[in-house]
Amino acid sequence: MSSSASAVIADLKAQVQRMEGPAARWPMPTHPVLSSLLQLRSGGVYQVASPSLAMLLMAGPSSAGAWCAVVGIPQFGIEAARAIGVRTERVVYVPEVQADELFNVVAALIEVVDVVVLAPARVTPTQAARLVARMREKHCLLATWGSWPNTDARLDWSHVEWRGVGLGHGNLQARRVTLEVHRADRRTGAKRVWFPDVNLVVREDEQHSGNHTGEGAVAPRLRSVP
Amino acid sequence: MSARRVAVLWCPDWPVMVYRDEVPSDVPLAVLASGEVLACSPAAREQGVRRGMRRRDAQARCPELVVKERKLLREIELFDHTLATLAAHAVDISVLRPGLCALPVPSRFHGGELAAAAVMLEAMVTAGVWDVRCGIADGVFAAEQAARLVGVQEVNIVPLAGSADFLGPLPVEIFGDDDFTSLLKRLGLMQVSQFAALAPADVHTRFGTLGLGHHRVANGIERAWLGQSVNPHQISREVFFEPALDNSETLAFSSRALVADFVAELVKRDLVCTAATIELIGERDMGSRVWRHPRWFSQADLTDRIRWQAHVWAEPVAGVRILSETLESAGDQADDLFGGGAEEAVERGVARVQSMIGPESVEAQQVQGGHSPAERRLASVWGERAVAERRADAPWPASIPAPAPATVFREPHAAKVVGAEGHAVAVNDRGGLLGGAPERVLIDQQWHAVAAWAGPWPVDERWWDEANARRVARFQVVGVDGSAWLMSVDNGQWWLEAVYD
Repeated sequence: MSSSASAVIADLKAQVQRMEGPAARWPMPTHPVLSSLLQLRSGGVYQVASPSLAMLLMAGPSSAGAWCAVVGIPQFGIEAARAIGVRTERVVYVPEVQADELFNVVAALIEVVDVVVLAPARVTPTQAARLVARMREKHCLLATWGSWPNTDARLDWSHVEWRGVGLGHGNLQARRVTLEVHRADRRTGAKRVWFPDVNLVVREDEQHSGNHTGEGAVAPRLRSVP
Repeated sequence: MSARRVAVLWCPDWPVMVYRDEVPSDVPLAVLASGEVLACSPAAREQGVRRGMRRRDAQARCPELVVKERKLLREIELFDHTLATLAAHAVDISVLRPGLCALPVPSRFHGGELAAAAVMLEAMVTAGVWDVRCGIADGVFAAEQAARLVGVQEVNIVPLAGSADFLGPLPVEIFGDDDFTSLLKRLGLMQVSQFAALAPADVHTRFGTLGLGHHRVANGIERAWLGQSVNPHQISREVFFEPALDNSETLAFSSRALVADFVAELVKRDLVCTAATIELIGERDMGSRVWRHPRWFSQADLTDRIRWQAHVWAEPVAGVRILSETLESAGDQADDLFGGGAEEAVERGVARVQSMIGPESVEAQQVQGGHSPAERRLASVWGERAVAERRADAPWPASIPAPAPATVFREPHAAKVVGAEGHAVAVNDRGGLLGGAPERVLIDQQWHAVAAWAGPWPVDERWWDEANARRVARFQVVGVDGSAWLMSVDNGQWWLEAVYD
């Protein structure tokens, strides 16, 4: 009786799946600074050029209550993550993983968390495809700091400019960068942002809000502020 | 439904009571457990003997002190025997531990609570226990604290719904959890009322489920009476193997019935276990460890813990014993049961990862106090309680101002900093620079030109300890490409501590 019932359920599930097609890719909460350039979607793989950008990516889903995992980045700076809006009490850290265990660890984490942040790692295209397929089903998102066979978008910054520090005086206070989104080796969007401003808020730089290239915005890279 | 009230009877120094026939009451007597004074007679206390003293210290205070080892079984036996007299007057007596028991106060006892307590005390005295004190309150915890505050054969009644007011002015030590109370005190919370005033959500975030349990108690929210379904005695289950097993996987498999039995007992009593001791019995030795769970242990969780513990123990296991350390009522956890589905899934998934790569390989992290970013990171094994070494909210002079670096190395990387002439830059005793301003830095085998720098922030770590004093100064250095680094110099050696990347 029970075995036939479970067979019926399995059959129904398969039918539902055929009708629904491949798992839908849900939009995920995205940090306001990023949202005009890139809408995060579940099942997506986003390559980041630095840990701060990984934190920016995490901030949207995490502040909405998502669970995150940080794998293979022992130097992950928790204070910086918290300042940008990551709820660090909902982050699972796996600081070091052997290369041969990495696939299994990431696969297990995809089952339970919403965002996985991964250090530079070597995965084969087959393994990557399997992970991404599972991520779509579980509505999980991957931020990879390092290469990955097939990414949705790449997040980078350029024209980094610090405020508050001179030659032997002051201290680092604010940073302005040009935030760039690349898709398929092409830059598809950029804007000038404070990362963070003097109040430690990551926000758009209004002075340059009309200028999305960032090129014209090159102020003196460093200015000493007394 | 009328409110149910609880009476707690406390007989101080119960370990001493078992020697009452052997040692006359005017001879100072101390009972030891693992080399420390567990209890002492009033005569010994007068001479300055205190609980927790080492044997030698106690004997130094009181040379004629008679020292005896603890006889736990005898204590239990004697207490049960004593309670037999009380059982004629009351039902539902629960032994919390030898010398301490709780019972419901009959709601319609003629003469009220005071008269009921007098009957109980009289029964105890009839049984030969002269030093007994009684506390009555809405919950067991408050009633026990009330009993501890009164004299011999006296009664202390905490009014209905008055537990929070009663507990408020008491010191936080009453929670009896050393890690927890020392943390509270370092946070400046000395009195129960200060702790009780915190928001429950904050307490949960900072102290976890156990802390939240204490917080409820501090606010007088205690289940009035757990009834007969709860036996406060520890639950323990054990199994033995012949021959001994030397493979942790086999052991975990063979322990499944044991774990199932343990959890079934919890379910039967409507309890959950949030801390458990697992003992592995070897052929010569015994390995014991307390495991805590951020929620509570399921069968799979306990099997995992057995496997992990066996994995590090690396000796054939002839027997396994599980003892419950902290039991909580399943009802108190109901919010979590219904509201926390996602968290439970996360706990299970993380436990699976811990099984794969070892429990220590998965961490939870928090921010604590400290000068350097690395000191400010507090990492703990996932599922275990983190205890901060340094307060985060205290002022940390000479700490590096925000923004915080995104990369914080656990161990700093060696680096070099040179001035215009190519000489290494150093810092003198008064924080001045030797060798000129920084011009170039060597980081990870690569030279970078310096565009700006700030510092030094001198940090005299351990300045009070002349021999170990370190003169560390920190700098922020910005490269021409906008890279920024947090560096330190320690006796002429430069280190890269963190990167603003």
